[in-house]
Amino acid sequence: MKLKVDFFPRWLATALMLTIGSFAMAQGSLTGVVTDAATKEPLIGANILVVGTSTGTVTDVDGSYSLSLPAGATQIEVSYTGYTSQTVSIGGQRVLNIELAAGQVLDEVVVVGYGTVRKGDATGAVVAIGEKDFNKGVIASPEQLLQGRAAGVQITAASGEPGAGVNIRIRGTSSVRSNNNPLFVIDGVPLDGRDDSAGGADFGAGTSSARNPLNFLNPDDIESISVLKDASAAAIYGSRGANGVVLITTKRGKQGTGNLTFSAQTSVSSVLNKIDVLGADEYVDQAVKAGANAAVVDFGSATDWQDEIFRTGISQNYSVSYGGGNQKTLYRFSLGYLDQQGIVDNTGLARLNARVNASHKMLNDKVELAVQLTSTRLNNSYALITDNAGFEGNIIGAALQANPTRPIYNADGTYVQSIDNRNPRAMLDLVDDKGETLRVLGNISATWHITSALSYKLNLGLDNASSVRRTGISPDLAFNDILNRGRAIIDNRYLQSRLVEHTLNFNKQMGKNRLDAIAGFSYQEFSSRGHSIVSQFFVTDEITLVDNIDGVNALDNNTAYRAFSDRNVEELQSYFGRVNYGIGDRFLLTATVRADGSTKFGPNNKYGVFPSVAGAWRLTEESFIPELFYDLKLRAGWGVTGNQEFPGNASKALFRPNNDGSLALVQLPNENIRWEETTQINVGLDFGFAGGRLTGSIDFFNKVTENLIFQVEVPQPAPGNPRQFTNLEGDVLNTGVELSLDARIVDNDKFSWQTMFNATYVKNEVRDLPTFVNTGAINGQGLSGAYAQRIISGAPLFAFYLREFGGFDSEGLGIYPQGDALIFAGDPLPDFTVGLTNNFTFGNFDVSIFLNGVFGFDVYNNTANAIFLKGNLRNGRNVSTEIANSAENPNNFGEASTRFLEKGDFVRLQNLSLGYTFPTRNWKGVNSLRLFLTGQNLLLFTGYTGYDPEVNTNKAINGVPSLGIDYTAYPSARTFTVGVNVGFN
Amino acid sequence: MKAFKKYLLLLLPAGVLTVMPACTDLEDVAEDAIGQEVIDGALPLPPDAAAALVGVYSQLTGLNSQDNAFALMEHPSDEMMGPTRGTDWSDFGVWRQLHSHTWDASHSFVLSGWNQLNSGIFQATQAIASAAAASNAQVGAEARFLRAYFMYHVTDLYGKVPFREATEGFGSIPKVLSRSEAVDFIIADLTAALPNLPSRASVDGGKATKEAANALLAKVYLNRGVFAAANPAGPYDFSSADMAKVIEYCDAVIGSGQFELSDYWNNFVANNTALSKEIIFAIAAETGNGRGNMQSRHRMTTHYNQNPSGWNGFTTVADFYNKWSDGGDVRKGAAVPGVTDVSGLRAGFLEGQQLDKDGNALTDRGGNPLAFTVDVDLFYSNERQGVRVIKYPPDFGNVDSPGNDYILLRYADVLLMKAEALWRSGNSAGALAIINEIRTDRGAQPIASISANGQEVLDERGFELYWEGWRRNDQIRFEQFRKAWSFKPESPERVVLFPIPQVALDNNPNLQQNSGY
Repeated sequence: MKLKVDFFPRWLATALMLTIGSFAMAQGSLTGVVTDAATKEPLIGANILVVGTSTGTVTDVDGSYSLSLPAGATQIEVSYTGYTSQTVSIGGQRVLNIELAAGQVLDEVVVVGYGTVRKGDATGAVVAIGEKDFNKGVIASPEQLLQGRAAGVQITAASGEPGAGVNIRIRGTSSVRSNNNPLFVIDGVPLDGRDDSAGGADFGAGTSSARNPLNFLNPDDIESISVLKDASAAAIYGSRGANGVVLITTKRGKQGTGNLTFSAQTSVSSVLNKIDVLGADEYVDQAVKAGANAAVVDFGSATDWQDEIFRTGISQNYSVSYGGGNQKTLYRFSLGYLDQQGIVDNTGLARLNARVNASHKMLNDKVELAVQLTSTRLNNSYALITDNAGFEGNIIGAALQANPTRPIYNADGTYVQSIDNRNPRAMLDLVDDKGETLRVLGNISATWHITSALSYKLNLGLDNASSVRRTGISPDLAFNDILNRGRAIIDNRYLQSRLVEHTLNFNKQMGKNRLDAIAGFSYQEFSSRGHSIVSQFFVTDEITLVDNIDGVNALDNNTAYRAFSDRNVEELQSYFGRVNYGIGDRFLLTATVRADGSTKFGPNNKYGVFPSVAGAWRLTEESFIPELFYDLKLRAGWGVTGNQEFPGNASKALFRPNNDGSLALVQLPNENIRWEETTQINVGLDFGFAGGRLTGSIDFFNKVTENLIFQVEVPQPAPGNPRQFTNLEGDVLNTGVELSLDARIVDNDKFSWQTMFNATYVKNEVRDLPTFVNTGAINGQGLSGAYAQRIISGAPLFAFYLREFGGFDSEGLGIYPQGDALIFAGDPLPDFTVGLTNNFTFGNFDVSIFLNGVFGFDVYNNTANAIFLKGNLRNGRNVSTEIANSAENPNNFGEASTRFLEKGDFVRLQNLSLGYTFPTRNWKGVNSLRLFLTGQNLLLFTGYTGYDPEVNTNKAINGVPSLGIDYTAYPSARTFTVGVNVGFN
Repeated sequence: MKAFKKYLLLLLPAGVLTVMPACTDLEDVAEDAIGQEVIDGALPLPPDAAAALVGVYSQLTGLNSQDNAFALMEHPSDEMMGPTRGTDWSDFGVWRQLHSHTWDASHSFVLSGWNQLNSGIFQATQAIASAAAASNAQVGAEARFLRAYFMYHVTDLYGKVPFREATEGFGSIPKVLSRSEAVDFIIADLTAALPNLPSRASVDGGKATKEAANALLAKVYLNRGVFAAANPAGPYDFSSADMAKVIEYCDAVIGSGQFELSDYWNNFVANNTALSKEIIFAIAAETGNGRGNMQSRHRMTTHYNQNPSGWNGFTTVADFYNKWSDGGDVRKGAAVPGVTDVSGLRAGFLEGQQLDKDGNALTDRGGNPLAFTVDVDLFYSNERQGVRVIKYPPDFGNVDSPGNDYILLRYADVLLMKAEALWRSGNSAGALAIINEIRTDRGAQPIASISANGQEVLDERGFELYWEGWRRNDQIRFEQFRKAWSFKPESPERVVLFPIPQVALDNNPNLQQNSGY
């Protein structure tokens, strides 16, 4: 903004200047132009600050600035995000033109807990991913942006369903029972983490899987994601930091006149791999060979049931944003619409969201107000893809085992279906299952710069979600409890969390040394409430069932209505502090501590204290380090973090009434219940060569998690559910190595090639556990009570304990060399995770190829265990071609055993993106235009015979989760996206 | 001055922070349950004694499912087995192991049965204490009866019973009652309850009554020789004092005048509440009500294509089935009005071609004629093998919410206990009279005499009480449990008791594993 000296009468001007001058003691003015050193383009909105004062200005659209210099001004500091700042002596000049060089990695600012730090100053293991490195394509939720991009961070979708829950593991799996996902913090507000979508009740085909609680965030609104991996970075989040912390920062407005961006993309998805089951032509012969009666199993028709349930999903995504600002005010509004169709009929996710981010400086820049508000409406459409269906199957299971000679419809138009043989088309058409969620996340903060060193910030946050799921099942559907009854389920869920945070910040440069300190208090309240009603025995199905829940014959059926409700309120109160001390440019020390008190902890252990210390030594400042090294920094840290993801009220005895009129003790109290504690040591080395062309880091970590929260069986006599929340003796050890490399191999304006590589090795072991626990329920016919996993000392978490299968004998019956004894057979935790990205630019074209590999883990194929057995062929069901041709005897039983345990190792071409950036420099009104074509999940190389080895069906037993079991899970999709991004000004 | 101002500015926010109200005391409030603090480690009592008692009765209903404790009582005996049929019923080997006596401490029903029965004891103890606090004598007495009932089964199956007082918190390790201590405890509970229990004349079979307590006392005294033996596998000494007690308590039931032998199948049909005069204690049910649902009793045995469709599972064992030589015995099989005419399903043992209600032959899923054979293979049976047993005919008024009361103590059992006690006391003639009274009533020929080892007494209990949960207990008492039969060689001594579940041993150091495991 130019200071315009208007044509005042001279005498008035002089008088004004004298009066103003007596306060400001103006010494004259300074003007100039700030440009990019490489391209010579003017930099709009660059900051010019007179060193030692608060006088400053910003460059205008031509890159020029004009300043009134206060007395004693000797230097100005010129800075611009992404460029190396420069401090220039004024030296009596009136015109000073500055050229800024594009900033190197070290100057990147990285968001850490309660503040930011320069990458070069970070003492902890922090990975920051900015927009340009995000994954592209159909991205429904933020963690997909990160998948495979950060060493030590492993992201697995539970299935291919749009909006499905996600497992995010930072440096291994440490908790047995509690949520292993990290803490998500959005613009400084820690999220609740609970599933915000209602519903998922079991009506004959199992319970639905959990949804991803981050679905409400529009990934287009995200500026950067920081992952805090080690204890010294995460300890400031105390009892919630044990699994790492993911900090999401949304886009802010930038200085300059209003900037409008628009992006649109369309995608086409289809199933990546179908499973090879028998077709109608070969089915009857194979079934008869297995002992079936042709007259009974041949229906004369030909149906490809997998084709019947899968479709090509067409998705669209539109985003519009408008932002701008000046020195005092910055704003950004955005609106986004996503409509993602799943590859299974009737499934999908639609999201409409609006966001406003604004900040304003007032009172002479002493006070800064900021507000971030996002409001999202999510519509989910579900199909019967459940976790634990019985042998008749959910939609996927029913489609795989359905007889291919069976037609979909009878001659009269009704569905061909029976209780034992479900019709997937009927399951799609006769079930209407939709959910709606409205979520608002907002925060307001006020920062008061008390002095140049000290500031106080008040942060208020609110996260409010309300969701409903309405499921209507027609009485025509041939399910045991549904046929001729119908069912309607309406489920509501409300989640709210409120945050109040006070922080005091102190930053002072003391000679060569620098001190940054913060002290704070935080209070957060989490409440949830839900209620649901289930109606059955409908009189008519001509009225939409969910709009007619009272149209049931309640007089003759006392189970016509069932209702449920629940409510829970928990609070967290914390005190925390951090000191960062930099000695010259050589040593950096960080110490943090947080005391967290939670209503969940028992009265004897209300507060937990989580300290950490870390140090870094910038070796490049030492004389004995050769010039070869552009950057060499040694980091070491130790810290304690906690995990408090267990249900509240564990310290109290709870009595609940039941629908039979009884009031009984349902939960055993434990007054000593406390958090899980993870102690982590991290040693890392950040290095860089060739002026920053090659940078990377390597980290060694050792994490020990103790006080594992668990529900142990108390000694009898005890209530019907004899489990009590306890902190177990013993611990879980995760140790490993992370390596990440970033190389700009070629970098000129005609062609550039950048490679990014990350690799993680993690070893996991459970130690000193006094008992063992079984988990991993296996479902299917003849598999009641079967389980596949065990949490036991000396093995990795969720180790597979199975009967040993020794092939078939001469009669085709299974050989079990060790009988019914269970032996250690493998584990689902990967040993190695690798991500390799290659980015190329050719002139205005850019190509990005991203490969993801995971090695050293096993998957239990429950789908094959339940469905693909020769005996099923004899019973009139379909099986895989492999089993039909095998030597198995149809009389053989398929007990849970190593027969169905497969290696899951895979390499996936996760993302291939081509784009063209139009040269818009001279275009009027348009400042950027990019077209792109992206393919996701294009190729999968694996030995696993199911749909996808990256799968995690929920097979928990008694609240103990499972891992790595595939039971008719929603398959993954191959997606092609074409889109355009435009920026107007 | 400037420095002072600076420090003031510094202190101000610091001051604000420190005088900030110490916001919350972080007390955990239970919003959707009654939450009570634990004070000095003592467990709070249930707030309402009558509601707590309802919970104890509900705990009984677990006994009418086909797994858990019921499976432990039936499958190891020679009257029931669960063969693996191709891809069905493999179920982690649980049924095969029970039949062939090859279970170990990790068997899932060993744990679930242990939990099911012991939690009944826990809830009853809590109800007793809650009733005492509220001075409600009848609720306390009913809870005592129920506690004795659960404890009887734990003693019978596992040979020892863990116990804690009502307010003992879960920080303490429960003491363990040995088999004889448990028997004394049961007798004390029942004797204390008797005066305050209602009579069967005034309440239905679902409630604990004086007559039920007397019947259970008879059962305990009859088995006391087994429970007191130094070696659980025998030999047993049945003292004449105990046998006299059995006869005394049986006579108390007989003398109450509330019971008489009814038509056999009227004891088990849908409206057995009204038709049967033999029900002493049962899990009561009403058609359509949803309480006490015993449909697993027919689901667990019928084939998919029968009506009602079943899970095509359990059968009887050839050795037991072949004892049935008397064709007139209605207990072997009969048509039941309201069932056979509706679906073709008969009651009793189902062998041979099965028919629908019009007499047409049924087929299995592969199209073969659905003819049940006596021959059956534990590991590799097909759908049709094995003789099925319908003890509780389905309720066609509402198959999913049937009205059949599920019997736990029956009058014919009391008569047979008296007969056995008479025989064990040397009075064979008296025993024979009772046995023949029952046999005549059931359409069977009377028997002439009882052998020295009491085979006829054991056999008669089998004919009368098959599939009602007593066979294992009876076979042990007659020292025939370890003999060989189909798919089971002679068993080692340890099998007369189930092992204590591994989980229980791990969390209660006072528990010792049973010998042989």
